[in-house]
Amino acid sequence: MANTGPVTFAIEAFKRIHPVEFQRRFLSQETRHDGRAFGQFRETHVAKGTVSTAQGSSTVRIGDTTVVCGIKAEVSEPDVKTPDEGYLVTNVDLSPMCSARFRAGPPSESAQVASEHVFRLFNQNVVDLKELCIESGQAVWVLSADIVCLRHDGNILDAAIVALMAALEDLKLPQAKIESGVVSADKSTGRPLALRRRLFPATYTLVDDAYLVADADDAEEQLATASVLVVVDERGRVANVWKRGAGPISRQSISQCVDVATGRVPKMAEVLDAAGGQ
Amino acid sequence: MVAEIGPSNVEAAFLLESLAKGIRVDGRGIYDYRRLKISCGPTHGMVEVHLRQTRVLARVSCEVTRPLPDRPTEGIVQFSAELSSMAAPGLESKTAQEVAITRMVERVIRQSRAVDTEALCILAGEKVWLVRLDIHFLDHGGNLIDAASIAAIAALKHFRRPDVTVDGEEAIIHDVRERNPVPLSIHHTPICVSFGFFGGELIVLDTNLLEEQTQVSNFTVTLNAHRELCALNKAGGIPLNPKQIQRCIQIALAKVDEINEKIQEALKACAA
Amino acid sequence: MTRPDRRDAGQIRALHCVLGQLSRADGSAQFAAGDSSVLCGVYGPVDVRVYDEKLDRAHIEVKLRPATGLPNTKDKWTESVIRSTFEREILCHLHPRTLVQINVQVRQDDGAVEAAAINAATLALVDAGIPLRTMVAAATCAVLPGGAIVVDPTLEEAAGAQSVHTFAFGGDTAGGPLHVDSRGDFAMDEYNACYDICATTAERVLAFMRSAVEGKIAKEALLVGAS
Repeated sequence: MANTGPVTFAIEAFKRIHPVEFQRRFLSQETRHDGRAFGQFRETHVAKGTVSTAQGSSTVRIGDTTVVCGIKAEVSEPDVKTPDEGYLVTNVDLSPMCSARFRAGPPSESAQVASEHVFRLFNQNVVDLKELCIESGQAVWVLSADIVCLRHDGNILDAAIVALMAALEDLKLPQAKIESGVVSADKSTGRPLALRRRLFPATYTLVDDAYLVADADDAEEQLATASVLVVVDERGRVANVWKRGAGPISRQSISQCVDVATGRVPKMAEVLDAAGGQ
Repeated sequence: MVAEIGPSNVEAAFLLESLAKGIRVDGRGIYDYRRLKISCGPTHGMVEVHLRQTRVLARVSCEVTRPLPDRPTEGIVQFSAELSSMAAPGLESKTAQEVAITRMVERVIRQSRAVDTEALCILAGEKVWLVRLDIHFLDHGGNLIDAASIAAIAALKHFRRPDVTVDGEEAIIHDVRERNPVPLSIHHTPICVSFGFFGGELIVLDTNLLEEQTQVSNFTVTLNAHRELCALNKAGGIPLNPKQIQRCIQIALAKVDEINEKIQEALKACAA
Repeated sequence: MTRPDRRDAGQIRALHCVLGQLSRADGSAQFAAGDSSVLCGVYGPVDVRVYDEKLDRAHIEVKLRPATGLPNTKDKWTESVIRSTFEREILCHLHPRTLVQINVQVRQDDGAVEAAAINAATLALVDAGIPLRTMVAAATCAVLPGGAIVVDPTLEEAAGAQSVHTFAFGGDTAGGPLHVDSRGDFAMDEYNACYDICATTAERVLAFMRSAVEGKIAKEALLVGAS
């Protein structure tokens, strides 16, 4: 016990052995381990039309989190109850490829919850199912949106929402007509799908019960005790406030999150617009 | 969750000893049914059956759908009954016990063709009714099969679907607030009555949980209100004397009459 | 304004609850608001699968079964909401390496069923004697086209609403809500108004649940005294 001087060891080892303490050292100094301020988001990169075999697609990168969204449009018979409405199907895929924490096999609970949440946000709210009608009672479009995570470094829900939004804006629905019961689609010509609104997500995460940080990465999410997802549209209206986790996030904090998310809209809209497409 | 273990040796020995004297652990006679309570509502097709601790909820619902291509003039009856850990700790779907119970109930309702599927046709080849029967096992206090079959039959009889008028090629489905909904057409009402065997001449009707865990074999007789035999089920266990089977059927005949009466009473009470 | 079922905008449906009706579950409760009705059965603390075992606390599992059909991703979503709401309210650290299982059976869904499920789960947990930090109560309200806010919407009202807001609160409302799910097309003023309405409604629901628990305990005490 002679050595009373400061213990020194490699920062990587410290991060692995004491993840909580490691994060706390930064957070207590009002900064984050990657140098961001609490309210700072990582840069979002969007590219549209990245999968040529899909009718609409996008690749979105938020920091190191990368997702690809592809929308396949297929013709199907409508439900008897809603003869002039098509379908939207969403699927978020979190495979072992994107993070060592996920296992192969049937979708995990977090993947199912993400799929369901994205579906609820877009079904009828963004995508007007009546727009997907080819011939009432005969044929409608089914949009299958597969959102595949390539690299998981936190905030997968924001990435999924941006990716689906971009892919829908990139979507070209083939001209379809129905002649004597047979549907023919001309894939060379396509029309864009009219969308009801443009959604912009922002997630805040409560780390270690004390620090509310924007756009948490994977290391921070590991210590998260709660998170709040805010989704706003281009008109400044709110589409979703979803708080998960048991940690305390005050009413005022949630309001502030919404304000920041609204403030980010012009910049995010620019990113989406600049993404180009086919 | 880890599945539960059976009763202790002491409990089982006590049960058998008493039974040999003609006494059951809950004080019933050996051919007594537990008190049957059937409550209907609040919506059409929702029926809950209590056999003391045993509780089963049956729900019938319907929607309009396309018919199956090979049966264009028949409606569809969909059936789902899964045991979950709600009914007893550690119960999970797809286990041997679960499959045995749900198969039995499905056989009784679906394969005995209790519901007239042709009456569920709206427009041949275009639109038919899809009737769903969901059976939820809420509390496992023994003899789930009987409780489920009673709940299923009562729910099917209690159910009302929206009325439909067909005008040429158009089918108009009337909102239930607009026109009185109509009952399903039901061919017959098969009901299960189950017995437990404990070796030798020891037979009891309507086993409770402890008896069910101790029994060495069981036997289910399914009869309808016309006193016709719809199904018999004895899956393994100790061999039975054919006379015992006949005796069980005789007892079941009497019980089915009582149960049918109870169902009628309950349906009348909630219609009033 | 009149609603289809002739309620006032701020009026919740008639509440009804029964505690401890299941024989096999350690605790159970049925909670109903009008025609929305949920049954909840709780086991705990019980044996946990090795896979789920946590060395310092109990594992919480929620299983939800819908009124009709088989469980789907929608139900998974609700399961995750219920679990995250109770994660901290259940004092998990008191029962390390065990399982607390919350089984939820929707008997009938006529709107605001998530709130009903949370309320039923609170009552069932109390009935099972699982140590809780606070009792959780949830409430839902909807903003109709035109801006009117109605509390405890039916399925029909929610389907036609501009936005639907569900909040769950623990004992101290000052610490913020335990669960928030606001969705649709709304402004923050509407959100805040809904927050206030749901907070007061949740308090009333909590008072109702408390009296139900007290009633059951008083009855049990009477039985003990008599024997």
